[in-house]
Amino acid sequence: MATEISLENVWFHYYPQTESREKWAIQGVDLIFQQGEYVSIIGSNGSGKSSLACLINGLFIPTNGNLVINGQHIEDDQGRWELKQRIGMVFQNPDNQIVAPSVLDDVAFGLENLGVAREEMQKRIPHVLELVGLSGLEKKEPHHLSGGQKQRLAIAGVLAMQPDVLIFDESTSMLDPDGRHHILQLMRKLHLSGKTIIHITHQATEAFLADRLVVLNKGKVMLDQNREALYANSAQLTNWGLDVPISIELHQNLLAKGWNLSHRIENEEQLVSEIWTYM
Amino acid sequence: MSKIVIGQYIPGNSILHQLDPRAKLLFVFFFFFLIFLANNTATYLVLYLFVITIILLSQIRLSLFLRSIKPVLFIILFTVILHLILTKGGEALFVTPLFTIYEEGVRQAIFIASRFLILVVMASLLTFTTSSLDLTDALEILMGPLRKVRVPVHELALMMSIALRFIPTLWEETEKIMNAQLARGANLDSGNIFKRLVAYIPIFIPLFLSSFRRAEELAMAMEARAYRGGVGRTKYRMLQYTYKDYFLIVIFLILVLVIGWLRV
Repeated sequence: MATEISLENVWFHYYPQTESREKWAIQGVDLIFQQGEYVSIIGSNGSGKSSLACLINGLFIPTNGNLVINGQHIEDDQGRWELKQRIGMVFQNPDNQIVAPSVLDDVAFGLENLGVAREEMQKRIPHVLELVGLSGLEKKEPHHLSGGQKQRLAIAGVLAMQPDVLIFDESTSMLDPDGRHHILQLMRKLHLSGKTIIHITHQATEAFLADRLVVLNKGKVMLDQNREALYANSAQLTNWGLDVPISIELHQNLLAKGWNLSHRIENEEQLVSEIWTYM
Repeated sequence: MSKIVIGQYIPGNSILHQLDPRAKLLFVFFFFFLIFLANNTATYLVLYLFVITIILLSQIRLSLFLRSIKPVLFIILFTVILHLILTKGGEALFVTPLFTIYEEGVRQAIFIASRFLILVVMASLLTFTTSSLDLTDALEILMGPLRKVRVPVHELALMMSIALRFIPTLWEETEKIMNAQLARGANLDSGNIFKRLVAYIPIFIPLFLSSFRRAEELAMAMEARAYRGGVGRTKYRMLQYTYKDYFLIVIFLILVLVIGWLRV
């Protein structure tokens, strides 16, 4: 099943009745996400990234504008509830999204909510635990897991619901380098299996792993480009308080100084290797 | 954290661990009534014999039971002293100008202390041999009929399960906050009780704030995983009675008969 998400002139305000109408968290956002895309939504703190993620998932209701899934407007509670099955969301703090006192029961939680039959759960749960590398830890209590393992458990809980789209809302920001590496690898793996990945982050290095980057600033979409296009003009990210990955910045500077390097590098290792060869 | 024994689950594979949590919960519930039927030395001896047997069957260290009694020791001692001083009857064993201890007072004091001890040990046995998840599942099923009178049984069981899930997390958080405040020179261990309570305010305020934030984030995460209450939910964990659970009923009935026969 494919899921095309469309945000049509979406505006969102946390307290539209009580506070100033100028404090919009999201302002007139128009975005379309096709099935199978790997998109990074990047922006500094308070740019509206997490609000946008919650709007896509149906956790927040747009103050103005529409959320359209496969051409259908999502307007009622039932529609938003059904959306949770298609669009899964992994949050920032792994500790605050694990509900049950054991790994197995936590993965089952979402399936129980959807009313999935027990026999089906018995098939799905071992499969997703193996996919995220938590097989053998079924009976473990969450507080005995590492930060990275907790986040993988949260991902397993969402994956068991078999969504087409996965939103990662700064899901790597509280992890150590090893844990972050595992989650980013898992994102790539899920993308290759056909899932849509929407990665919310303020880390430019992570954002450049996606095929498409959307820059948010003060609730507005400032830029929506594919990686290649943004790569050539990455310096503009600083306009919105974002860092340019050091490897990209160095590569661009060396090219500008006439070094004979490839026009695009994939990672730091490739850059080091090219500099080594050039020298 | 390891010093807190009440409510702790001790993983194991004893016959008590293998019993259905509903059977254990019901057994302990009715056993509490049975304790109050005991009224003479013979009946208390039967109860003690039974409790010692199941402690041995549970394969749990005796020291853990002693630690579980520790928090209620003060209440037991207080009740014992009250009975010794206030209960009259029988021969006067110890006479002072202020009070006299009678034979009946000693008897009642021993019986009441025994009641407390057996109650605490049985409650500890239940939690030592039953995981929190099994207990909440059992409670949800046993309280199921209350749904008809609109008691939110599923929500109550889930609240209990989440509370138990977050005890270690909140304990870690408390330790972190305490260390942070101690690093800033907070003095938590000196002064009278009121001074200590005031000193703990900078611990409680951030703890409450972070707990509310956690609760909000958890609610969003649950909603994102399609949670909308107990309606239409299925269950992954299924509880099933076995012959051991039926055997427990037989043991309980035998106990009732023996206590009934021996009591005065």
